[in-house]
Amino acid sequence: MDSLSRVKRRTAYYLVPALAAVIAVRQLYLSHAYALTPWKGGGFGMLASVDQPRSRFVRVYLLTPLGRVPVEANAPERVEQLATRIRFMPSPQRLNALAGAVLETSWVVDTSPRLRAYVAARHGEPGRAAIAALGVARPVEGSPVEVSGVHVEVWRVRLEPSGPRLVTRKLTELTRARS
Amino acid sequence: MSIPAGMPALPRWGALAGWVRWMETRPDDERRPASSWWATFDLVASMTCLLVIVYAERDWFIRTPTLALSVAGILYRPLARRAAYWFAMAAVLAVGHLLIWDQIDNHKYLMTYWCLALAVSFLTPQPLRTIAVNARLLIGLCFLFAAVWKLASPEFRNGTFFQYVLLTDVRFRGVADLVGGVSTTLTAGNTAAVDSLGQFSGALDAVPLHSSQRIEWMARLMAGWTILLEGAIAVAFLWPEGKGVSKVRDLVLICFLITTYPMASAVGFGWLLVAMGLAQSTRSFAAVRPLYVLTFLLLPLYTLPFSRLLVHVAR
Repeated sequence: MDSLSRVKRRTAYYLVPALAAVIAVRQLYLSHAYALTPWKGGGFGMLASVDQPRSRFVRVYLLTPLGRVPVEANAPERVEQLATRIRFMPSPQRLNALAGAVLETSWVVDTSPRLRAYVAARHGEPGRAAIAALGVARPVEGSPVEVSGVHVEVWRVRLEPSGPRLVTRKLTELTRARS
Repeated sequence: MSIPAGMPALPRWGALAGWVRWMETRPDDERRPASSWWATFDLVASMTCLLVIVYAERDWFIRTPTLALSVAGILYRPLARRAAYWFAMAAVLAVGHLLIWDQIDNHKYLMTYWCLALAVSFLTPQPLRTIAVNARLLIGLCFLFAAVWKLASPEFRNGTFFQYVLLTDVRFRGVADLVGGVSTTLTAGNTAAVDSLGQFSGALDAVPLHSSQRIEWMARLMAGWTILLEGAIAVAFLWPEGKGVSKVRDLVLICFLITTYPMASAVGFGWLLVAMGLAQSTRSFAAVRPLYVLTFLLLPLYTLPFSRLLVHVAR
C-alpha cells in the first residue's frame, strides 16, 4: 500500500472523530468563557448539571424617570427570540443585541387594573407586588415612556443539598444607556 | 489476535502508534462472508434512516429533505451504499444544525457526525472497516466527554443533579413516589416552586423542595452508577481492538442502553447508539447482533408510563 492511499485511509478513519473532538473541546471552552449551557453545543454535557436552558431566565428592566421598570415577558417577538437564545448562551454580543432591540421598541408603563389582573394570574404574588410598586413596561403604539437605558440580567437555578432548596444565582448582567 | 497481513507498519511512535494500529483492525472480518457484513450494514443503514425520520429537528429546512432522503434510502437499499447519498444527508443535517447550533441536543451532533462518517467510509476501498472504526471512536469520544462533564460537575458528583431531577421532573414523579416516598402532589409542588423562581419581578430568590432520605440515597446511587458505566464505555471503546476491556464493549454499551433509558427516555440517542454499536460489533459473543436489534426494538417501549402504572398497582 503506498503512502498516499495510507494517508487517505487514515483520513477516512479519523477525520470525523477528530471533528467531533474539536467541537466538544470548543463547547467546553464556550461553556467556561460565555456560560454556554452544558446541555447544548455538542460537548455531551447533558444530564451533568441542573444548569439547562429551562432552568435559566432572563430579566429585563427599563431605566426610566420612574425608576427601574421590569419588562413583561410578553414582549415583541424579536425581543422574545433574543431572550430565548440568551438562555442558551448569554454572550456579551447577545446581551447587547437584546438591549438594542429593547431600546428600539416604544414602551409604556402600564398600571391598569386589567394588566394587574393579567400579571397576577401569570406571575402570582411577586408580579402583583412589582406592579403595585412601579407598573410593567409593555410595547405600545401610543405615547411612550422616556427610556434612558436598559438593564439585562441572566439567572440560573441551583439546588443546594442542605434542605434541599433551590436558589437563584446571577450568571451575568449588562446595562446599556441610550446613545 | 494477530494484525492482518495487509496492515502497513507504522513509524514507532510508542503507545499512540500501537493504539492506532490496533484500532484499525477488525479481528473477525476475514472469518465471515462479505454478504454477512453487508447484511449487517443494510440493517444499520435502515436504523439510521428510521432514526432520522423520527428524530430529526422539526424545522422545515431539515425535516423535508432528510425525510425524502431517508424514505428513499429505506425503499431502495443500494442507495444507502453510496457516498453521495450519505454526503447529501450529512450536508442537510450539518447546514440545518449550524443555524441552531446552540439549541439542539447533543445526539443531533452525533447524528450528523455519523452520516458524515458513513459518507467518508464509502470513499475508501474497505467501507465496512472504516465505518466500524468511526463508530467505535465516535461512541468512545461521546462517552469520554460525557464522563468528563459529569466528573467535573460537583452537582453531579454529590448526587444533587439526580435529586433535582427526581424531585422536579414530571417524568420521574412515579419513581419518586414509588421508591423515594415523595408523593406526586409534593413533586407537583416542587415543579411549581421551580416555575415561581423564574418570575419576572425577581422578588423570590430561594424555594425549599420536598424531599426524603431515600431520594438522597437514590440520587447518589444513580450518580455513581452513571459515572461508572459511562467511564467504562469510554475506556472499552477507545481500548485497542480485541484486547482486555475492548472485548466486553458491546455488553457494556447494551447494559447502559437497557438500564439508563427507562429513566432518561431519550429514544433518539438510544437508537443512534444501537446503530453505531451494531456497525462496529465483532463476534465478541454469539448473541451480540441480535441483542443490539432487540435493544433497538425495546427502547421505544420504555416511553410507556410504567412507573405511573406501578404506582396505581401499588395503591
